[in-house]
Amino acid sequence: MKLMTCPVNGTRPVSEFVYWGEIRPMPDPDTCSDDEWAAYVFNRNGAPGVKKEWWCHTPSNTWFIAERDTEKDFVLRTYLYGDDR
Amino acid sequence: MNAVLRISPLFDVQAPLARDWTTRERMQVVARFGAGEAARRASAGIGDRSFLHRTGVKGAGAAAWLNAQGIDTPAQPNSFLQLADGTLVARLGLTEYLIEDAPGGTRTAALMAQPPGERVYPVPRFDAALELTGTQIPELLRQTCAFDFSTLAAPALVMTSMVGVGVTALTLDSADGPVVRLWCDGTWGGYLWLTLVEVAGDLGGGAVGVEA
Repeated sequence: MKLMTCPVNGTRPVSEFVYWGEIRPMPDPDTCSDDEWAAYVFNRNGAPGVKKEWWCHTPSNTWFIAERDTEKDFVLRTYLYGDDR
Repeated sequence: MNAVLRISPLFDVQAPLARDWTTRERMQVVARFGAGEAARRASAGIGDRSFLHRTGVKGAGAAAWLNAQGIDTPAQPNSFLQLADGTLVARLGLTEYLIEDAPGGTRTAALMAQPPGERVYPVPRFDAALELTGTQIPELLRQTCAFDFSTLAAPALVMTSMVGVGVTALTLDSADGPVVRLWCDGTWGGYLWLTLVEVAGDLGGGAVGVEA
């Protein structure tokens, strides 16, 4: 059984969670180039590595961020949005 | 004053199994499911408590507003307390509360008759509410949920997934031993109830009515 640790509810089976994709900061559309904007809109980074991702603990609807190594499928840490210190 | 105005979210799945019906809090509920209810209740009884009135409030001003209405609030999220009259007050998040009346209680009706205060938002609740009783309930929970309920003691409550359904669960002490209370979205209630009744059947338990 794969486990995920919710920052509020603790360690639970991953079946209680949904994955909502990598966090992708939006470039400023007023100042970025067309190439940068097109890359943000159309391109996704499929290369394995350590990524920040949105996850949600569905029974309590707790959204949080997981730093996950997608190559080794290993969760480095999880925290609530704004608690990244 | 005893007219049926509400039906349980579990009505459709309970109707084929029900023997006698009654009315509680103006909801049509199953009084008895047939012979052997006392044994089922002592082993692994799955009871319907959806008839209890409940309501939710959320918002930054919710705790202060509830306190002003004479309702104490739990100090920690994911915890609950029981008022002297039996009313359950559960804190589901930083600023979200669930209030459930004891049988015959009028707290939630009084609450909803008040205009909500500033930054207080009513949350209508249409949960399916279950009550699990009996000596085989720990085994039932081990088979249906990944959460270790042996670590759950009042005043803590837990939000977890049981047979794939998101539930809020807590344990209460009673004269007959610990009682597990569950709330889930009403539209999932029938599936949850049927599945738990089937698993409980293997443990010598099953459905019990409100008059069991």
